[in-house]
Amino acid sequence: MIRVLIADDHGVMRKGLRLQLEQHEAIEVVGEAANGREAVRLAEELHPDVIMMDIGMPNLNGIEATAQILKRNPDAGVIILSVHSDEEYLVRALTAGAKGYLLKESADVDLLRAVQAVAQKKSFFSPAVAKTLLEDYVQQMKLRGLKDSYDLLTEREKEVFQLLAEGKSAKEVAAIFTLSPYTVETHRTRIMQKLDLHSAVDLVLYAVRKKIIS
Amino acid sequence: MRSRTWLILSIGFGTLILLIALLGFGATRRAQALHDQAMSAHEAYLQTDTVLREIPADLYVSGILIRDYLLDPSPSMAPEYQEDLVALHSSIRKRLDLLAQRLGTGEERTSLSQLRNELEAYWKSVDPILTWSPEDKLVFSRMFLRQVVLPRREAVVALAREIGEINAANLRKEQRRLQGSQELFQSFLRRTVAFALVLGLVVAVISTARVAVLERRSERQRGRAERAERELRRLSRKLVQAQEEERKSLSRELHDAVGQMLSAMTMELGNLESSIASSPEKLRERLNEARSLNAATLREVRTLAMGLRPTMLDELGLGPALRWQGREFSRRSGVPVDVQIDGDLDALPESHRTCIYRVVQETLTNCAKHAHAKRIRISAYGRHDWVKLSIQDDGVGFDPDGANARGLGLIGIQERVRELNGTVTIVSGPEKGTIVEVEVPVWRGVAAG
Repeated sequence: MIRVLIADDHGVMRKGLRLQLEQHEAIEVVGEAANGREAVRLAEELHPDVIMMDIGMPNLNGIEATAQILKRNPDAGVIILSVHSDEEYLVRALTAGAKGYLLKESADVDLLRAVQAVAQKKSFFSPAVAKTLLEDYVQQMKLRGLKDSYDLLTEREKEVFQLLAEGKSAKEVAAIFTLSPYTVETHRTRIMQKLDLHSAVDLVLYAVRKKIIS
Repeated sequence: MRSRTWLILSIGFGTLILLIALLGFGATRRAQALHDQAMSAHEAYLQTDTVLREIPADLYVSGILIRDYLLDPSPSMAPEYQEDLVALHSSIRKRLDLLAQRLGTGEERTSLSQLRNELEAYWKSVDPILTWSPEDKLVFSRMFLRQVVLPRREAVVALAREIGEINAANLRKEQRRLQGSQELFQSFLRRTVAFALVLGLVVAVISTARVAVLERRSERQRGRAERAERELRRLSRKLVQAQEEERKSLSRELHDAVGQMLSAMTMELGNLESSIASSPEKLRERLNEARSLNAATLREVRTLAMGLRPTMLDELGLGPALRWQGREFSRRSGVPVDVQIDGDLDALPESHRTCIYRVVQETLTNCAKHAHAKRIRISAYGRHDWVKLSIQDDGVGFDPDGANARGLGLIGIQERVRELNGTVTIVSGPEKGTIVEVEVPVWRGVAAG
């Protein structure tokens, strides 16, 4: 049973989400919050597996609420619900520690997959977000006369890259490939250099853009 | 300069007015005084002259009395004659006293005492005859008249004439003195008038020059004010037009895009209703159609709303909003925009964040319209007490002092920044690109309320 908390300041949206989620037997909506502060309080009381978090809420917005919830309970899986497919929102959501980013316009289609993925500690990003990010990326590269350097990665680096982007730690990746964590770290450094990435968030963004994860 | 001229003119005009008043009153008083002196001198002369004339007249009367007495044979009349003579004597003495009062000095005094002595001697010589018998009178009278009365009378008359001449000389002397004093005053008058004229001329020249300068200055100022007013009218006209344009385009977008899409949605829902009876595949197709139409409408509304004011500015802060704006601009115009954010922009008050965001928006709009830039660089640096913004492009640039430099966009930027006590610096020139730099102070006390 996946226990879900819904935080959105619009009652219609909460109701819609609840209806959609409760069609599935494996999902239980344990609470609803109408603002950020309430979401933080309920997350602490109810210990849900997944929290659906709207960004634009009064009394502490969704990003801030996410950061506060994850500070107290790092295992909570937060899915940001947003109408924006812009990179800035995604970056903020990732920085705050959200695992998923779901666009409201495609929530009905992707909702179940998102909740299931995040419940299993995987990332989930709406395909439309990846599309926007990629378009932006391609255009920026073209305008600046740069080339995508993904093909410079070796096969092993691509595999490591995917796992890291999915949120696995170096230790976990090492276990999967039976490598030493140091080797994985070296791979990570080389990947970041080749792709001109500077942080873990950059790495995830890049992966979303290239549809390496979704 | 201004205050010095004012001082000089005040002193000049003051002195001039004082001089004219002095001249007017002084001249009148002086003329009156001279006239009075001349009159009194003449009066004194006339009075003295009258007295001098009356003494010989009295003397002649006394002579006649003496002669009558001598010719009168009866002695009984003697006391009467004596009485008349004594009266004459005292009258003459009184006149002498009067003369002594009028002529008090030197030469005159000597002549006067001579006259007095001579007269006393005359009276003394007359005294004895009053005691004469009729016989004595017959015998001596002729001799007495010829030898005593006549010479003495002559002497007295001569003396009186002498004193009269002295009197006349005195009058002439007084007149000469008055004449001299009159001449002295006239020369003083001439000098003062000449000085007043010169001073008046100087004051007039300075005033005229000053008035000319002020007139030119006010003319220039009026010209400037008129130009500013024309400019203001032009701008407010443009502002009204711009507002109307914006409303028009917003209305058109709402109507054309959103309205059309919602109409299509209504139609699609109708289709859905009529396909309820048909196959599930057909129904699903219609549903998908409706869903994608709805998503497109949502995107359209969001784009419109973001254009008015991005929610990002309130939800994520200034940094992300600027980066988003840069990317959106790139997407629309094809010009790459680098956005560099340093320091802490999130700590800025709401008014400052909006200001910086709008400045960037306006500047990018200007770039799109005029600059033909190949690259744009935006950097923002926030600190606890100020925020700095710099927007640089490599476009065609413009003359910041030129007549057409102040479009609505730039004025909007300047007004927004001035509102927060900030400064805008624009460095540009034809073919040199443009740098817009903005610095806005943050007043923590005020911002924290």
